Amino acid sequence: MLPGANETRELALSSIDAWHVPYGSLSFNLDALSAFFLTLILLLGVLTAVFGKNSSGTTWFFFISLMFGMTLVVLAANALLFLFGWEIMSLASYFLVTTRHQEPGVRAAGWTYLVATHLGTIFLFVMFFLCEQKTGSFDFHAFSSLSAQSPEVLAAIFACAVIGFGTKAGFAPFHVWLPDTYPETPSHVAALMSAVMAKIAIYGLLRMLTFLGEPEAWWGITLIAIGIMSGLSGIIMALSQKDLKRLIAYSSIENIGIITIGIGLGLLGMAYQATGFAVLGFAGALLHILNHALFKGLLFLAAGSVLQATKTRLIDDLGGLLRRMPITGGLFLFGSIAITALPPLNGFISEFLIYLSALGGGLTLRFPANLPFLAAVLGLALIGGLALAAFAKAFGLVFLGRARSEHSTRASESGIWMLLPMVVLALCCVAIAFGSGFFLEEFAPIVGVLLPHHSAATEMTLQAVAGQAFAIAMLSGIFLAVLGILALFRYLLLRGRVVQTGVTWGCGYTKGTPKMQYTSTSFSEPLSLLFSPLAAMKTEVTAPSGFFPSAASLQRHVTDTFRESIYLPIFLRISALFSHFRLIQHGRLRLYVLNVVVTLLVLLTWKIGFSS
Amino acid sequence: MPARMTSAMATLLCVDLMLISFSRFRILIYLLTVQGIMIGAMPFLLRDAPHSLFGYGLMVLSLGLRGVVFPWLLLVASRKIKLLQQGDCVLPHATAMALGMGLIMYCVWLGSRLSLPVPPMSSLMLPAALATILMGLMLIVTRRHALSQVLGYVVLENGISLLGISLHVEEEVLVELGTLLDVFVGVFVMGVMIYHIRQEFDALDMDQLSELRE
Repeated sequence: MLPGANETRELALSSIDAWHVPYGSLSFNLDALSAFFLTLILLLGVLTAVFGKNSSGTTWFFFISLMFGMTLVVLAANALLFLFGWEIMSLASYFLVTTRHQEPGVRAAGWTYLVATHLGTIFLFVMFFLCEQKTGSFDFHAFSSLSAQSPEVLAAIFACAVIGFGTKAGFAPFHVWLPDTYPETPSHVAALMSAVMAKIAIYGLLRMLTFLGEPEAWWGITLIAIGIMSGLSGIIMALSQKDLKRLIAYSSIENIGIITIGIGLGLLGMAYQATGFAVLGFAGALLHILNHALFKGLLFLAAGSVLQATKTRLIDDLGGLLRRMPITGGLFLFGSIAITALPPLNGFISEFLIYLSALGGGLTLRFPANLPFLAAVLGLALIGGLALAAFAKAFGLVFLGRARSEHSTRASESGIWMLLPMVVLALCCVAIAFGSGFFLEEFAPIVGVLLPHHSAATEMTLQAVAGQAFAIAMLSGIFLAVLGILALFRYLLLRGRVVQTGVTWGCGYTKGTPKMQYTSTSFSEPLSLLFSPLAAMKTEVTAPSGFFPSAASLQRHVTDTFRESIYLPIFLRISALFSHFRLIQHGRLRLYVLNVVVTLLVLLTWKIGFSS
Repeated sequence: MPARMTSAMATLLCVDLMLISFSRFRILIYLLTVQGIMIGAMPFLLRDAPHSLFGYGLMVLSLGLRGVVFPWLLLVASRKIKLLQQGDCVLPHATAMALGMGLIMYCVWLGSRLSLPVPPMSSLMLPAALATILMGLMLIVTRRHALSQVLGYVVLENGISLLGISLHVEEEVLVELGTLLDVFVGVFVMGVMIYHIRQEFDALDMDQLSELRE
C-alpha cells in the first residue's frame, strides 16, 4: 500500500541543492512522513482527476495548481517555501470552489472560504516568525533546536499551529467555512479538498510537533478535547442536514475529529512516557488519515455521481436511487460502511488502533492521568454511534424507498469514467481492511518521525497490533463467508417459489405514496433534539386557522450553533464598521485624482519642507 | 542669459496661472501652444550646440509635438464636439485664480527648499516646473469635460519635461523619450476611454462616471 515508506528508510534525508531567495531558501526534503502524505496527494489526485475529466480548461489549471501547491507544502524544508505552497494551495482551491461563479451562493461560499483560510494563514505567519525569531532561520532543520525554548514560547507556537492548521483542517470551532464551501464545489474537487487538502493541514500540525520536542500533557488534552468537540458537533450537524454533500462535508469534520483524538492520544502517551499508547495513537491517526482519504473520496465522488444524474443535492428530492443507479448506490453503501467503522472494512482498523490506545491508557494509568483517555473512549463511542445513524439516513433516504420527486425518477447510472475511480477507491478500502495485518509494520518509520528515539518500542507495538489486525481480517473473512453461505441458502430455499415484494418503508402497507416516507429531518429529529445545544433546531410553523383552514405548513431546519451565535454576530459587526468607508467610494473621478494630488503634496511638504 | 531665463520662467508661471483660471477651451489650447513652444525650445537655449544629430532631431521632434501636434489635435477634437466656446470649470473664476496663486507660492517655497546637485540657471526654474506639474493635475481635478482632462494631462507632461531640463539630467535623451512615450500612451488611452464614455453615456461629462460605482 505504501510504496514510499520502504524506500524512504534508505532515502532518509535527500535534500536537493537549495535555491536561495530573500529570507530563506527553497529547499526540499522527503522523509517518511512527507512520503506518506505525498502518496495520498498522488493517489487521490489522479483518481479525482479521472472522475472530473470533462472539466473546463480553467478548472484543470487550478486543479493542477492545487496538486502542485499541496506537493510543495509536503516537500518543503523551509518555512518560506511551506507558506508559498500553502498559499498556492489556498488560492487554487478558492478558484476551484468558485468554478460556477455565476451563482450567488457559490460566490458567497468562495468568499467565506477565502476569508477563513487567510485568517488561518495569519496564525501560520505568526508561528513561523516566532520560530524564526527564536532560531534565527526559516529552515526546518534549524527549527529542531526549538525544543530548548521556554515552555511559554513552545505553548505559543503550539497554539498558533492548532488554530492555523485547524482552520484549514476543520477543527471545531474553526470549521464553519467548511460545510458552506464543499457543497458548492465541483464534486471531484470537493473529494480532493476533503480527502487530501484537509490532511495537508494535519501534516503541517504533525510537522510542527516534530520540532517542539517532548510534548506537555495539556497539548494532548487540548487536542483530545478539540477532537471530541469536532467529532461530536460534526456528526450531529451531519445527521440533521438536508443536503447530501453538506452531510458528507460535516462528516469530514467528524473524521478530522477522530484523527485529532488519535494525535492527542499520541502526544499524551509521549508526555506520560507511555510509548506503546503513543505509538498506537499516532499509528491510528495516520491510518485513519489514509482511510478517510479513501472513503471520503469515494463518498464525495458517489454524491457527485448522484448530483450529475439527478441535478439535485436535496435529500428530500431523492429516494429509490438504488434501482436506477445500482453501482453508485452499492459504492455509496460500501463507503458508508467504511466510514462508520463497521468491522469488515478499513475504518474499523484505524478506529480500533485509536480505541486500543485510549482504552490502554484509561485502564493502566493512574487517576487523574487516565481521565483524558477515558473521555476519548466515550467520545469515540458516541461519535461512532451517531455516524452510523447519519449514514443510515444518507443511504436510506437517497437510495432506498421510492423516488420523492421527478429528479430521481429520471436518473440513470453514470458513465464508466465516473464509476472507475470509485471502484478503485473501494478496492483500496478492501485492501487495507484485509491487508493491514501485513503492512501495519510499515508505519514504523512514519511514526518514527513523530516519535524519535523509540524505534524498537515502535516496531514491537506495531508488530503486536499487526497480529491483531490479522486476526480481525480472519474473523471478517469468516463473517463474510458465513454471510455468503446464508445468502446461498436463502437463494436455494426460495428457488422455485413465488416471492412477493412490498414497498421498503411501507411496514406492510403496500399502497404508500412517496410522500408518506420519512423526510430527512423527521428521520434525524429524535437524535437532533437530544443534542439541541450543539445543533439548534429552528421551526417555522404556519398554523391552520379558522373553521376551514386553507394553508398550513411546518418547516424545520437545523442551524450550526458556532456559526449563528459566534461568527455571524462578529462578522456583521465588522461589516457594519467598514461600511462607513463607502463614503470614500463616491465614483467621482476628479475627486479621486484630487485625493492623489493632496496626498502627494502633503508627502512632498512633509519630506522636503520640514525635514532639514 | 540667466536674466532672460528668469523672465521666460516668469512667463511660464503666468501661463500656468492663466491655464487654471480661464475657462473657455479655445483659450486653453492657445495657452497650451505657448507653453509647449516655450518648453520645447528650452533645450536650444540651454546648450551651445547639440551633442549629436540624433539629439538635435529629438529636440525638434519634441518641439513639434508639444508646440504643434498636441494643440492641433485638441483643437480638431474640440471643434468636432463643439466645445470651443464653452467653459467647464467647476470653480468660479476668482476662486480658481486664488487657488492657482496659492499653488504658485507653494511651489516657489518648495523650490527654495530643494537643493539640487547642479544649481539651475534661474531660481525660478524649479518652481515653474513644479507649478506646471501641479497645474496639470489641478486642470484634471477642476474640469468636468474629458477633453479638458486630456489637456491637463499634456500640461502635466510638459511640467515633467521642464523638471527634467532643470535637473540637468545626464541622459536627457532617455528622459525626453520617456516623457514623449508617456504622453503618447496617455493620450491614446484617454482617446479610447473618451470613445467608450461617449458610446455609453452620450456625453463627455466625467461626473457621469459615478453611475458606475457599486
